[in-house]
Amino acid sequence: MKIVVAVAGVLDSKWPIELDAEGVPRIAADRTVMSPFDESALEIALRLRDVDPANAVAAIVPNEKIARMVAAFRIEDIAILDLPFGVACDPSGAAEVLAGAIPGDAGLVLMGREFGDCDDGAVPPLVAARFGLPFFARVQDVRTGPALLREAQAEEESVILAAPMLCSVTNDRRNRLRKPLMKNVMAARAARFRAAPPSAPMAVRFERFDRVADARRPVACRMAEGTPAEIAAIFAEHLLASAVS
Amino acid sequence: MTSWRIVALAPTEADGCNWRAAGDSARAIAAATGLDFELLLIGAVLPEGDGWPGLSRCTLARNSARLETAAQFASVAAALLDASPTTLIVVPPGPFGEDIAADLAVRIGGKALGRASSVTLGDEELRVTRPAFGGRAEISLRYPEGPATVALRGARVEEASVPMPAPVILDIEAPSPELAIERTAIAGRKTPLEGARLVVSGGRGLDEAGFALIEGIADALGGAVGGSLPAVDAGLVAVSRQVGQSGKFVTPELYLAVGLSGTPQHLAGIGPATRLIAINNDPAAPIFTYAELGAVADAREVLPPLRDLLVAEAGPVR
Repeated sequence: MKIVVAVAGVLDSKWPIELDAEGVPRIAADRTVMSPFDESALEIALRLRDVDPANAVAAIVPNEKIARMVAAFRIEDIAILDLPFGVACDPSGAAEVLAGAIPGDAGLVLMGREFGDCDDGAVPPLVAARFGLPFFARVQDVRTGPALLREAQAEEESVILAAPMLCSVTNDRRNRLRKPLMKNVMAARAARFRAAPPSAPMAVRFERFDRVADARRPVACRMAEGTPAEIAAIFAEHLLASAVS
Repeated sequence: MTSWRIVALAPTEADGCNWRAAGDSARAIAAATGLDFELLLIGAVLPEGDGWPGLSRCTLARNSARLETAAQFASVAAALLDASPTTLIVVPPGPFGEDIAADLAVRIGGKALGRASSVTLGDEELRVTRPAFGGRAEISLRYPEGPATVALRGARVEEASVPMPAPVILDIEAPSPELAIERTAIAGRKTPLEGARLVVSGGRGLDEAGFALIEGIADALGGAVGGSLPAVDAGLVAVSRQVGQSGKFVTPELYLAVGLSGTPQHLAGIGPATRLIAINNDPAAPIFTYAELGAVADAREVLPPLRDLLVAEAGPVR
């Protein structure tokens, strides 16, 4: 089976968000990293390859820096899909372009539950719907079968990996991305990558960017002091007085 | 101005999907432009509850079998909605509602606006503001037309309640699920985050013993346990209990944050009207800026007596 991992990449949070002359965020490739969700999706793909070496893993990545990070896991088929901010900021636009880059013979498409800095989870189900693939959201683990597993409020839900499908993957201690072998990191430095089809112009218009300094209103904080028992008593009184029992 | 048709869409029985939140969001958008809105519920029975001012029509699509996937709900909604370029469909905020919105947008040839912090309807256009960069920024986008689907976070409607209009009930044939999902009950699962009046949440500043203590506190008061993304990453709490930008959006009356620094990404998952109280050993932790009661203390020393006091006062652990 061909497994395709779509890696979005995000701006490394240690860098400020810079704007171009028109006020549009400008994200330098060398300041991007894989998000925790990207890493989890990649790890699930690697585990499925571990289970059955016949599972070939391919990847779609945003730039050459992340391509080399992914190639260090012995993934050779890597396409670079450059999503301009004006496209990436629109979930439907990003999904349309991404769907165009996914090979038609993919048996499983894996993506982080959020696709990049502007997505809040809409892009994976949009791609699945555009591609006509069944969608299983927020996968956390792989089980024998192989089956993909997630936890809901009171139930564990799983699907056997059989027909072509698209899954989003969420962060979980069980799918933390492994470290690549140093020899593979060195080999990835010489790897070459292909470009995915270019983006189409979108109808949405980017209007404004605002930094969020304080999304929440500050309040005066009454500080409880004393021994741990005294602090506990103050908090207990507050909790009980709030009539939340 | 363009006469927009606004429809609140929600499953009535899906986990983590609050149908009233869809109604609140639709009412907030409609009221800002002086429009009415409709309510389309999909489920086996009509849930009890008041209506909203401006709610012109309530429809229950009554399914013959349990619907399991977002695609099934989207399929039913697409068949019933007859969406036009001036239709805006509003779903409950939360992962499942947002999955439905995305699938539905493709089925009706529209746009998925994602999870918005504001939506403004104009003349042949709609504007949406969404958080980006992990809550560090907001971006504003303008769409020339619909139809569109959106989840609006944090809408609060504080109006006199009105009776729910008599519902139109449509019996529907449940579409087949596109996936065979096997379900196994997880033993010992407690109060869900959605709808909880108290959330007791822990961050990376806690260990496993600390999470056991906050669970005891939540149990004593009938509250729900939450956690931050780093706590989920560390395996201290299930991802289904993650609160924040990339987790659940919760609106309890009171939120006890323990060992949580108060990053914008975490605070983005807490409703603006929720009151915070916090325990953290770092006096410079941003969480104290937003908390009405705080303590700079070692949670390992404060939590045991706090749990014991609450159990003694509120009754045995449930």
